[in-house]
Amino acid sequence: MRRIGTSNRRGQAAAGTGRENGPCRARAGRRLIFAGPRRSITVEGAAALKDELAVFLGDWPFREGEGGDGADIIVEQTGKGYVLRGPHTPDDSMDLPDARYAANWLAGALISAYVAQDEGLICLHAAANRVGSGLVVFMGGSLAGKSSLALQFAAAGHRFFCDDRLVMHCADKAGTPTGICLGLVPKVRLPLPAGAGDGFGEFINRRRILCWDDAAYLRLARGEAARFGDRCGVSALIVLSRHPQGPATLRPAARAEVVRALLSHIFAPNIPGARLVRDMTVLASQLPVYSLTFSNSREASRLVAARFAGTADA
Amino acid sequence: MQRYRRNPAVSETEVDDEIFLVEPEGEEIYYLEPVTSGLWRLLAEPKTLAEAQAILLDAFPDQDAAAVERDVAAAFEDMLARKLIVTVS
Repeated sequence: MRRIGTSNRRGQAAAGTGRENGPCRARAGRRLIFAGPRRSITVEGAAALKDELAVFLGDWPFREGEGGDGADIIVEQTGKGYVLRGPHTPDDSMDLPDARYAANWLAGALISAYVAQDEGLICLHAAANRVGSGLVVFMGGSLAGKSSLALQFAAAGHRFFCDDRLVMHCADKAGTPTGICLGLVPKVRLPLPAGAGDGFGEFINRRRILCWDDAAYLRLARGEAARFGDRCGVSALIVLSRHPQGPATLRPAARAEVVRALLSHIFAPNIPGARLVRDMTVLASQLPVYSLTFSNSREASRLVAARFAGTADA
Repeated sequence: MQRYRRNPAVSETEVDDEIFLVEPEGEEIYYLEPVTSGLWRLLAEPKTLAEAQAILLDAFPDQDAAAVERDVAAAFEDMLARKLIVTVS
């Protein structure tokens, strides 16, 4: 028996809810106000993170505004760094040592707050690109190769949607599973793996906006990436299995395998557990589902593109 | 002797031959591996631990009997702790 998830979780795209807690009591003063699906998302105390957020959040719109009755998220500076508080934060006892960490966690909390506003929304730990006429979704945990694949697709001209967290409606008004872009910038781990390709290395280098020894954030050009609020119907779900070596293979996946992967990688604070299992079973039944085993993201992206790029990229 | 059965409040979804359970209080979601799935199916009707162990021993005659009995006891204990099964008098 394996515990694979909880529908009613606190926190962010790793976990979280906002149902059981109301907004935080906020002090008067300026705060950052972000676009949400139903209403604005307010963050108090994040002015010191504004520059980092502007990088990580890409084109997710936000502005500075005056205080009101409550905040969805509160950022506090402590002697050790930063702490995030509120119903959308995964662990309000965790010290985030610097602005980079704090902004990164705040981005996760903002996604949680976004998803919590609409009962039809879920968030998958997944990357996605528009390949052909639909969104191909790559599911996997940390180090599964999501960012590498999504950026290989972007380098090949397939519009980037996300590389870590995909917000989705399981069914839009027409009953189609639909991805919603939040406009977050991609992050790539460094150094790039051997075999990624010289062209890919150049693609990455030209788009770096923040860079550390182990990772870089990228700004993709207009047309290379979807923008905040863009929507696209999902055309396939792919479960990633990365290996140290061996050729890339793409095979149809068993439905139960995909349901397991969906439930392991989901954040859905508004959906009761039993319905979540049912909805994910429907999702895995109505979409083409695959398992991708690979060691080289370039080879894998070509294999997947050959399968799905049959229609013109929009 | 103590008998066990499925907790009727637990939600069950079968996908192909695999079973997913949702425990109602904590909303925890579980995926059952094959042996635990077999036990879950057995517990549609109340069974004692000894009855379940005997059925599993019949089903897996080539396996080490002590290991099978130990695994079944551990699975019962685990499912009971997670409120997936309950005792009946």
